[in-house]
Amino acid sequence: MAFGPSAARRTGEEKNVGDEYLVPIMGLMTLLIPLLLMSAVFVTTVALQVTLPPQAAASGAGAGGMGGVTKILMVGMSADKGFIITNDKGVLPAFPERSGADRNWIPKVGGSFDFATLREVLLEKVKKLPQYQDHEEVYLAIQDNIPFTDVINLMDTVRGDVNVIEVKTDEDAAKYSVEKGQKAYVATLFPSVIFGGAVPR
Amino acid sequence: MPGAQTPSKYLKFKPHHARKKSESSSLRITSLMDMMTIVLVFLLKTFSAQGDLSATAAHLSLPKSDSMAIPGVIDRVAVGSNAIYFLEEEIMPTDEAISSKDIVIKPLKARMETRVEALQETMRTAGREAEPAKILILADKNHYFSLIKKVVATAANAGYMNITLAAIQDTGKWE
Repeated sequence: MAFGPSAARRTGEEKNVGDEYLVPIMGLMTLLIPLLLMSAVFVTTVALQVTLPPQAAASGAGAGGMGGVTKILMVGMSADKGFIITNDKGVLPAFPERSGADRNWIPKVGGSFDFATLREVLLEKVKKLPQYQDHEEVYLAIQDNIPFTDVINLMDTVRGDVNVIEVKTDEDAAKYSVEKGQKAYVATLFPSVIFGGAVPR
Repeated sequence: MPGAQTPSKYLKFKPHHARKKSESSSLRITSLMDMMTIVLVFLLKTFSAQGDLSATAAHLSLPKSDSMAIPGVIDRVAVGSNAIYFLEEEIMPTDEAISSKDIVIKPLKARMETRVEALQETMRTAGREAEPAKILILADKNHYFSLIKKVVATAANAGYMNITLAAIQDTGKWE
């Protein structure tokens, strides 16, 4: 017994027999890893829906105009001044407690657009104005010299938070345009974005 | 002192041969298995059946969005920093589209119209109900809205009634 282990070491019998059984598993893993690497999604592309203005959708032509719309809510985006919110009656002051031009515009902060304040103001307007509580459409009047990345940020802001709900009834399936049992993404503000109009001065 | 030991003492036990045999027979793959298992679990966690596996055009850096809507398999137009591509085919240099005063990009519209007609013809032949043609616009984040507006207007003019803009998902972008 006392000589057992050393004898085994000398003859190489100490070899871990279990390792040999791992070789086929290693082979399987070597195949699985490249396969998963090829199909792995490290970056997910998402889509932001653009709704065509009613006129363009009806005729299949043109990306401007607002014919037939009665409940308009528009967010103007100016490279110099920031954001302004208007409806079919006129400007909705962003800061009613202020005076002059300061009450209408949400200015840029440190050279960047203040998306957080815009979101707060929009939530407040929706709370105060009942006609926009179930309203889905918002017009975006964006100046030509605004970078596309800021346009996407604006679209995210006006859409608000997105809640994921599971569609269980036929009624909900029709409401959210998905099949029963699937998930629907419900935005808290305006999910339907329409490009059009001019930025007020 | 070890150096003073005679070689014959080592030869007696054949240490060189013994070591060589031991190295070749006991290659440890357990640690390698551990590493592979970690990599496998990580890859299985990142595996997604929903993600978009298609490659985007060269010189195209998409903006980030917290949207969760996944684009389907639809027609794509890529507005890269150098050129505009429709269905992987280069249509025109981006600079040309930017400098054009027309809201509709004519070469792109012509190509899109041909595609929309072909799609409608395919649906008619298959006896299916006509669906609105769908398009995904992949545009570089550094382009100005003036160019994006032109591409959207061109797609709408060509008959694409369902238009979506592509972005890279980033749910924590406001944090």
